[in-house]
Amino acid sequence: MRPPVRAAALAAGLACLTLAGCPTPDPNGGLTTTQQPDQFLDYNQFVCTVEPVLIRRCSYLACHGNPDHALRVYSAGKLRLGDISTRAARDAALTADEVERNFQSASGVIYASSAQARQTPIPTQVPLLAKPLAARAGGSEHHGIGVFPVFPATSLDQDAEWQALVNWVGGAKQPTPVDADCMTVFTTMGLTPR
Amino acid sequence: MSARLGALALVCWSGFAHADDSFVAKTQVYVDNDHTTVVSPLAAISRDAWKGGTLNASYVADVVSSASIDVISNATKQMNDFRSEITAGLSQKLRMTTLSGSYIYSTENDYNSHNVDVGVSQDLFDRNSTLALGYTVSVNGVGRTGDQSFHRSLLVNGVGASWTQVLNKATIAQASFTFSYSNGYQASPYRFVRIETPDLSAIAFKVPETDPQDRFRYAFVIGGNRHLFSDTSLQADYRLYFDSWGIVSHTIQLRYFVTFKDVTLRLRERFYYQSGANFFKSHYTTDQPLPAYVTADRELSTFWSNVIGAKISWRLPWVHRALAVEAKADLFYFYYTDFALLSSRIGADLEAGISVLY
Repeated sequence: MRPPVRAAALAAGLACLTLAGCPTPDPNGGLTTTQQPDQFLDYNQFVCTVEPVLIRRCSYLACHGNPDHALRVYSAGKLRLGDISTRAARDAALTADEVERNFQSASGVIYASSAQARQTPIPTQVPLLAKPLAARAGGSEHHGIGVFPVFPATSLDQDAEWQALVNWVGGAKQPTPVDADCMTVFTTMGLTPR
Repeated sequence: MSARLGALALVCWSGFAHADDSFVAKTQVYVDNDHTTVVSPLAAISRDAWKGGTLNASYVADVVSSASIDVISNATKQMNDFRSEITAGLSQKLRMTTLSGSYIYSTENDYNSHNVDVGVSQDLFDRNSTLALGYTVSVNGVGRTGDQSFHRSLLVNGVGASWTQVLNKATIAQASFTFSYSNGYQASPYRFVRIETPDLSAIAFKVPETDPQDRFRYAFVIGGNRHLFSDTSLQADYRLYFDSWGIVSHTIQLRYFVTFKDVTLRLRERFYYQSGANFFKSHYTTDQPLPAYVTADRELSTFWSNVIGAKISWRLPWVHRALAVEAKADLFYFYYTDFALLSSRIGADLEAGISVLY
């Protein structure tokens, strides 16, 4: 069926004139990519710079250490994918599968954010940035928690963890090989860069 | 949204409303087996304020408690909400013409809505026919609890027209059409859609629900009201609905009224079927490119429902000449043919109250 666009647009225009209430465009009109996470975001950068931030700031069992949560963070000592009947198993280093799931989960929550919103960045249109951002910095401060900037940083520019999130969200998939510091992270975790 | 279309239909029907002073107070209780309870106290008053002019106002609150599959599948144990809605309206009868208008404001912690409805109805052909036209606009603000930076908007415009015809002393028929255009945010800010592994054994990740920004809706209704025997009547109507998201629905409703002295009993049967939106999928998987629009809204899936109910109104002239008490019970069953998180829902809509009509 072909909708009567002109009539609808006219009606909407009349309503705007009478009520001065035209909506602002919805920035999340649809998912902005049909690609899988590792096709538009960098896995290696995530493992070396972003995942440690998410584990440090977000992975608590009552929060994003919940497997049903959209942003679901596996971490040593908390949420695990496999058997955690022993303390050693619970505290063991993350497996490749768990790292992959962390990467996918973090990617998933920004699927509806446009490339422009991610690259500028416009935090209010990128949930991974908006949610932990303090209200005084323009963020959501979700459930009263404004993580960034993290003390002792007083501004976002000074906050290396925030910058790690911004760089990953706004960057494109990078070619391997990774730098030496990042390679050390992979080696320590027993994983292979992509 | 459906409430707005309902209001539009009410505007179209207003030509039949007989103006009386009235006061109604009642409480509705909704319960279902998806762990949702809504308690809705309502008070409404209508008064003939001047010659041909009627003023009306109402207030309704919804006290919501839910641990539905919608809520718990997004890592929330339970949600509680409180919604208030006030309505103010007026109508003016001018010989064969009735003008009407109303304003509705509703608010809750993450949503507010302003609605304006205007209508005109014209009696024709010795009052054997009535043509009614209506227009509604709804300006909505969408927020998200615990997220002070989330602000979206939704604008809805709708028009409606109806023709009512007295066929004979015992029969009235009506045909109506409504059209609405919604533009803005129409997804849920709380819903994330599961992207599953190809074998459906695990959730790979979740993405925010995304619906198209534009939606065009069309509905046609034909119905009739037939007086039977001495104090009974039968109402029947059929509604065809379709929209630009690919949903097509059919609704058949029968209502039977019987009056015995001071008691009026209404029996009701309603069957509804809809096909799902063209972007709805039971499962989204990682081996397929993600579509632009993904949803976990069961109201966009294919489903059917059935409602049976009874309502009894009992006038109490020995208490007060205008007093009546009423009680209603509707039982409903929904069956979702391709919604992965829930296959069916059963529940009841109960209501009790008093009315004073004088």
